[in-house]
Amino acid sequence: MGLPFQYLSRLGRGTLFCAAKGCSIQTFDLTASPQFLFSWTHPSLKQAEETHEGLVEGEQRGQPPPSKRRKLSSNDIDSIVGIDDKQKTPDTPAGEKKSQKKGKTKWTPPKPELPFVVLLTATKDGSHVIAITGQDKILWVFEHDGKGLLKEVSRRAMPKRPCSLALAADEQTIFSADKFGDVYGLPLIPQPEASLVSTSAPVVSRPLRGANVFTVHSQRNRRALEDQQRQREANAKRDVPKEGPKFAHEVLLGHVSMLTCVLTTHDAQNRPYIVTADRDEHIRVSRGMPQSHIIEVYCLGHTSFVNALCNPRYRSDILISGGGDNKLFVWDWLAGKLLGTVDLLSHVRKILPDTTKIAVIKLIAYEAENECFVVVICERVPALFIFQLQTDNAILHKETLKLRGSALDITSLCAAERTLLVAVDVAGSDGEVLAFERDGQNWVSRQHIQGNANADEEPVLSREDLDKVLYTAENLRKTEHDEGGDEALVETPEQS
Amino acid sequence: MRRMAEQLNKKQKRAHYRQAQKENGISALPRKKFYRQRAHANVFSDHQLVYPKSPAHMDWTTYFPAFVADTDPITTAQPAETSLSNATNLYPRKLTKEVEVVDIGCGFGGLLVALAPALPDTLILGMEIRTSVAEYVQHRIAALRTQNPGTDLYQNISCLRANTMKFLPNFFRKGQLTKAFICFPDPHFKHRKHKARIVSTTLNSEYAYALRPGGIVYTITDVEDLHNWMVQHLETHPIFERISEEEQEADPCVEIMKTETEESKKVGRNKGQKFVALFRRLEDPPW
Repeated sequence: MGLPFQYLSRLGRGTLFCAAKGCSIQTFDLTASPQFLFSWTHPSLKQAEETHEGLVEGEQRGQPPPSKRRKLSSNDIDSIVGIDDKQKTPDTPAGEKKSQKKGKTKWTPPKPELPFVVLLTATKDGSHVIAITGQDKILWVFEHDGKGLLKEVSRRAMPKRPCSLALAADEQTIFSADKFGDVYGLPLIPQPEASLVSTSAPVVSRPLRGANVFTVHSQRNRRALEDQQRQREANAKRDVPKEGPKFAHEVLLGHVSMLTCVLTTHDAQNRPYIVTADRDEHIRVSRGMPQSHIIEVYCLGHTSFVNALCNPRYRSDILISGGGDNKLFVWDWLAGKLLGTVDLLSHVRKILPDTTKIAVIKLIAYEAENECFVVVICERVPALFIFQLQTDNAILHKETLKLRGSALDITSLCAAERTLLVAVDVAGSDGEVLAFERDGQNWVSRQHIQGNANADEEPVLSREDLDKVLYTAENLRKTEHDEGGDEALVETPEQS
Repeated sequence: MRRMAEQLNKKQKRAHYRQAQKENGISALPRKKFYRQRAHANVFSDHQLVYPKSPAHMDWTTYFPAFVADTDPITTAQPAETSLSNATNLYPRKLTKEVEVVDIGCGFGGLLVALAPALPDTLILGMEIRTSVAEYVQHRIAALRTQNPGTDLYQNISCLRANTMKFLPNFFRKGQLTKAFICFPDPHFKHRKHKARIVSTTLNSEYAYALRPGGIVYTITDVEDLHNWMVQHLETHPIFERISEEEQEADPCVEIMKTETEESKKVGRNKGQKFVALFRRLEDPPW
């Protein structure tokens, strides 16, 4: 079985676009024949050869991708053995998390996870493509020659898995929002000085001393302290601060929650802002660089996770948000004011009558005949929902376009936005992108773009495993039973 | 096995105590031993927290009953629910004044109780993540109010359970607060846990959001490393400046913080060190 396309991005203002399929990125030209232009595959899926250009380049920068891989080159096997020998020194990202959790020093091979391309975006002129592969947390930058050819420029292993990407207005800075709640700013093209020390990386604290005889308050704890001191010496080696990435990066802001979406926008005076959404129902509006530490306002009202934001180009004063709630929200984002909501669940029910909860995965806006429209896709729902944003900020359902399978991603093409591209998960297909053409205000399905299956580079996954990779939004929903061991009635240890 | 039996016993005693308390009312001060809870809570987990959608949705009237505004509930039309019925939303009743001082991680509430007479015209809120500890403080305040009938004493303090690291902006609008106390926070010694510390570069932006310009963050700890960490992170944040030693010692709240919190009493008994640092929230830079 082939893999579906899971992520789309336009390439410039023409008819070119790129699409992520498993661990590959393929480029297409909608008007050319053949449409398929080029394919890039994550090097770990290729039979890695020492001479492979990308690999050598990466190694020189000192950031080889971590080695939780399926197919292993001799290089990788070496590095795993290396980890085992060194008992987790801080600069071996592979498997670190797992072993720390269990407090074991023995290497246990983690369940093989593939470096799927989880995020994909391009600069407006299409000259650069930025991609994230999830498993190894690498941020890739490619140069695009304008004809579909992608050339790797840099690879940077991020500290945590990025969940959303945005570009600053000048497109020279990438904003990467991660699972840990932080937004990093990194230059699109890394500076050649490889030994750059990050400017505002978390402040390094002095060596740890922990509790002392002044800070414990009972006999029993004093005894415990002695034990701890012995233990601490043993632990000291393990508890070294995790080294930050060696490339230029700056923490711009952070939530104590998983981030789901970041976007950049500007106000009427053209001052930049960064809008971030998280799993705890928050939408935060911060000033843009260099004042990203100033929170202007919050847009509060969601009662479930926020997963998608949309700031129409023609109505940049408006923000539309969706996620685990049954409705879409329309905001005056600079004032933090809710302007209105519109029900989405009832429209989903017309496609899937048994639906009780929905997870919006993407919102995009387009303009047609001076009217602003918003297209919504929801996880595991085979349809596009189109809403019209009226001048009085009311938002109305306009039409629903049915699809053959669940929509995974959506984007618009061309400057005039006359084309909509939808990645559809059709069982048994080799990846399918559907193109809709606008005829007046209506969308007409025009063509199917089939993926280019390269059997050698395509991993084989069971449907179940594939679903786990493709459908992750619903996992953001909070469950009722989450209290865990925290609330156990254990006597307070008096030591702080 | 013995441990288990002991625990069961403890649980039963706790249940009996709570039952008795329910029956006898809350005139007597609660006893701490029935409210003890593990000192550490995972700030990243969801818990079963109750928090308002936004500050406007917060009903403070049960927390500060003496300050309820005498107006009827305000019926405000919510933004029109487009393509839905025009449902109106009932915002909760308002107070005559807003909460302006918070004790983040108030523990057993020593600071709140001591601040109540010191700042009689200010509403002070303790926020605590541990359920039973927050409950203890609530019972303690209720008992103190009943013990002081006919006075306004202790009417201006209250406590609720919250994870402030995640949900501070759900409770307070921008610039609502004048003082935030962070007293003897969990030190989280391990490097891996530093993101869980209550003071960090990114979280300080949220404190700056809730505090008005001129507002003060008070920190105290008995762990020197943590003190250095807090000073470093608040000093390097462009919106905060450290307050001079003289001004710090002249602030009556500092003396209260040094002597009245449960933790500071404990440290005092053990002749431990206390490290204090105050920071002022500056005006936002021009934009």
